[in-house]
Order: sequence, then structure tokens, then C-alpha cells
Amino acid sequence: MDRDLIAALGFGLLFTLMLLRVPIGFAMGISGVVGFAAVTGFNWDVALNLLSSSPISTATKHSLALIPMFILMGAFATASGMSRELFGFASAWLGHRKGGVGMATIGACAGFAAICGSSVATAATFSKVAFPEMRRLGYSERLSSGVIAAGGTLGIIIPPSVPLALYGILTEQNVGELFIAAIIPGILAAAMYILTIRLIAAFSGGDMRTVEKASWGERLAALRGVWAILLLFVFIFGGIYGGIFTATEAAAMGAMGALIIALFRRRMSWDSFMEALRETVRTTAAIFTILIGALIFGYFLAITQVPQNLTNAIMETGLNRYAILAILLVFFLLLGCVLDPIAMILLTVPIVFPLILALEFDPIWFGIIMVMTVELGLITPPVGMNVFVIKSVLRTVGLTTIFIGVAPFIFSDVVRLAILVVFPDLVTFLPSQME
Amino acid sequence: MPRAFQRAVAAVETTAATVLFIVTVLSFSAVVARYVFNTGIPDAFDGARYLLGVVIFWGLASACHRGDHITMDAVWALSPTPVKWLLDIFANAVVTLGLAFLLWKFTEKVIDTWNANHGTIDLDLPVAGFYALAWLGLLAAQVFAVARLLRILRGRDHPPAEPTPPLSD
Repeated sequence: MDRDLIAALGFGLLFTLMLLRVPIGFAMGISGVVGFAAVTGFNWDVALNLLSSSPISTATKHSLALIPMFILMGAFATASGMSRELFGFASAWLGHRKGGVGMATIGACAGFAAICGSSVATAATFSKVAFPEMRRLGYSERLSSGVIAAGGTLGIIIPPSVPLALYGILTEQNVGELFIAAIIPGILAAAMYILTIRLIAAFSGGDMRTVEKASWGERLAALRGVWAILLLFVFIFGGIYGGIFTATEAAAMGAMGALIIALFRRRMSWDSFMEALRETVRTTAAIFTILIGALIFGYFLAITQVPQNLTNAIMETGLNRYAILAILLVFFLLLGCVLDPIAMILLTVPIVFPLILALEFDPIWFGIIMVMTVELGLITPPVGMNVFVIKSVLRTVGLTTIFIGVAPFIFSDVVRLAILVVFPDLVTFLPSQME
Repeated sequence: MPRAFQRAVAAVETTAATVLFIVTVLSFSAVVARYVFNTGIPDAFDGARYLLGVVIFWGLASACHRGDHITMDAVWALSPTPVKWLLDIFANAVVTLGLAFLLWKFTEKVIDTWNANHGTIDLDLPVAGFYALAWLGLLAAQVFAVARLLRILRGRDHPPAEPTPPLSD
């Protein structure tokens, strides 16, 4: 059978299984093994041997240990309630301005994202912490929930970010460089969300009230609640930037650092400690299942030469490289509407990465652009995960209300993407200065 | 669900959680030992990575019990309850079958590694021992997947198979 036809049938099987709700990792693994067997003339011994070594070699890859440890860092931070101090600190500095508590929510989300690489956890946490305060001050349900949904996405933009780490591992890029590269775009994202809230407050914020302006003493007192978190962030990413730690070592330092802070503040019970570990184990297993499936599917792609053929075909069209990039980003946006961000990265990166290299785009820059595009899928209908998480916490708020509330922030995201495409130095400057 | 089964699930989850903490402490201690005491911990690298394998396979058992896998829910969410039930049966049957093949091939891998007598870099600990521990997790995953499939077939899947957002997104 023709290899291109087998490749097409392999993708057909993969998407059919995924639509039938087979876990994505299993769907990729099964399609990979079946496709590999088809290419080798249905030599099942060879195809099934992929299951013998590929899963355990992936599960025991030391560089991948950073994934559970960064997730654990976020789980400890969430369990120890650090979000309240961050929100208190941001409110003390921004709350007296028009739209200030909304801005403070974004600031606190950004701070929380710096120790927790999960958008879902960030959105869930601030639904409980910030939503009641915004409603009390006259913010509409639409804006309050939209601010939290958008703020939550900072979880995977601001490092540490699990999707970014996976991109780095798949493409053999330095994960530390990727994390450092994400700092300026992450700050830009938060700043643009704050600007969006400011504009909404200026034009339609008649009912929004502010909190009383905090004195300098109160502001400095609020700083006492967050200094340890700031120190942890600076320690970890300073270590990566200075070449002192690898990203995996930084993850271990971060997880233990978050635990030590929580214990020092007497915020961690035995039950919450064990639950954080159990939750991390389950999430890690779910990610590794996809990773193992993606690697098996990758062997199938390699033997059918789909990535190379696709790259050659697109290069032969003679299209401008930015036109190709624009098509890719639109494709990611559409796929992100129905697919989990991690699954999307693991599925598409092996296919598009050779094309990105052929088009001579910087692989670190593209990683940031891709994660930011994928992140949009968390807040766009029909399956924006952050929106569903907020809905599950704030049961009285409708899904449509949240989707409408987050729309201005989606516009802000698209503008930010355009800025980063036009000014790639915003991404590449910091990594170029690393030791 | 029988109490003995619940205890088995709890034991698997607690073991995986404990091993994850050991991996984290080992990695943390290796960095501290290198920078503070200018020394290394024997087999910190190999120990951490092989134990990570144990965490993943035991974690897979927990994920199979709870149905915590990452899935594409677009069709499922729009389907009426009977179709949801059929989709759940199909998806869990595929998972169970896939795990059976994985268990079979990984059993061969453990035996091959045992026969090859591979050891860790520093302490020459048997790699097959770590693999055997991971294999136990995979065996538990297989048992839990079968049990989950039977629960769904009997219409007793608790908690229901609602999509669970992962902490990684």
C-alpha cells in the first residue's frame, strides 16, 4: 500500500478514536502501532516491539522529571493558599484605580502563574479568591468571570509552563531558554490584559467601585505576604538564567521551596500534602500517557515521511514564510477549539517543526508563539477549559456570560501575537543573554 | 465498590505519591549536595529517573481507576446519555485492550533486562528491579481498567465519567 495513503488512514484512525472519546494517548499509540504495522507489510512483531521499549524509555527519561516537579510546585502553592496573599498585595497597589481590582486579579494571576504552570489551577483558584470581591465592588458577572478566565491563561504563558517544557523536549530545545524567553511575552500578556480592563472601565465601568487607597505602610505590609513567593521565582529563574541549574534541577528546587514556604507558614496539613502529591501523580500520568502515545505515533510518521513530504510540498508552493506562519496559526486556533493544549502540541509539533526550521524561524521564538496560540483554546468556545472550570466553581454564572466576558481579552491576545510576530526580539533577547 | 478494592486503590495512589516525593527529594538533595557540600549522591540521577518510571506506571493505574485520562470530549458532551454510555464502554474497552498489549510487551522487556543483568551507573543496582516495580503498577492499571469497564457496563460508574481538567493546562 502507498505510504501516503497509509499515513492518511493512520490520521483517520487517530481522529476517529479521539472523537469516540478514547484517551488521546491511547488513540495515538494504537494508531501508531497499527500504522507502523501497515507500513511494514503487517509485520506485527516489529510494530508491537514499539510497546516493549518506547513507554519505559520515555517514563524513565530524566529530563522529563521536570514535568511532575513543576506540577508539584504548583500543587503545593495552591494547597497552601498563596493566592490570597498575592491578591491582597496586588489589591493594595492597584485596587484604588478605576478597574483596579480587576487589574489586581490579573497581577495576582501573573504572580501565581510564576509558581504554578497550570492555567486551570490559576483560573479555579482566583474564581474563589477574586470573583466575590469584584462582584462586591459592582463589576458585572460578565467582566469578573472574563477577567479570571483570561488571567488563568497566564498560567501556561508565564514560566514554568508544562506545554512549553513539552515543546522543548519534543524539539530538543533547551527548556531553560524557553522559560526565560517566555518572561517578556508573559509580562506583555499581563500588561495588555490590565490595559484592556482599564479601557473597559473607562468606557463602560460606571458601576465599578474602587477600594480605598492603601497607605505606603499597608502596601509594604502586603509585601510581607508575597516576598517568599517572589524570592522563589527569582531563585529558580535566576538559577536557570545564570546557568546554575538545569530546568529539571530548578523544578526540584521549586517544588521543595514551595513546600518549605508552606510548612514555614503552617499552611500545609498532612492531608493537603498527600493530596497535592496524589493529584500531581494523576496529572503526570495523564500527560505521560499522551507523550508515550505521541512518540509511538511519531515513529509511524517518521517511517511514512509525512513531516518531510509536507515540508517539501509547502516549500514548493513558494508562499511567503509569514503567510505560511499565518495559515499555521489559524490552523492551531481552530484545532485549539476542540483539542487539549498538551495533546495539540504533542500531535502537531513533530509534523510542523521541520517546516518551521525550513522556513528559518527561530525555534525558541516559535515555541512561545505556538504556546500562546494554543493557550487561546482555553478561553474560546466550544471547549474553552478555563471557562468550564470557572463555571464549575461559580455555578450561578452562565457559560455564555463567561464567553462574552472573555471576548475583549481574546482580542488582546491576538494583538499580542501580532506584536510578537512583528518584534521577535521581545522573545529572543533574554535567552540570547543567558550564560 | 468492595472495601478491599478501595484499599487497593488507596494503596496504589499512596505508593505512587510517596515515590514521587522520593524522586523530588532525591533531585533536590543532589543539587544541594553539589553546590553546598561539593559532592554527589550516588545514583541520584539513575535513581530519580527509574523511580520516575515507577511513578508514571503506578500513576497510570490511578488514572485508569478514576478515568482521569485526557480526552477529546466534543462529541461525547453533545451526545444523549445512552450514547455517552456506549462511548464510555467503547473507550474503556480500547484502553483495557491497549493496556493488555502493553503489559505483555513490557513483561518481555522486564525479563530481557533481568537476563541482561543491567545495573545503575554508581551502585550497580539491578535496573530490572525498578522495571519490575513499574510492571506492578502496569498490572494494577490493567486490573483497574477491567474493573472500571465492568462498572460502566453495569451502569455503576462512580464518579461519573465527566471530563476532568488536568493541572497541566
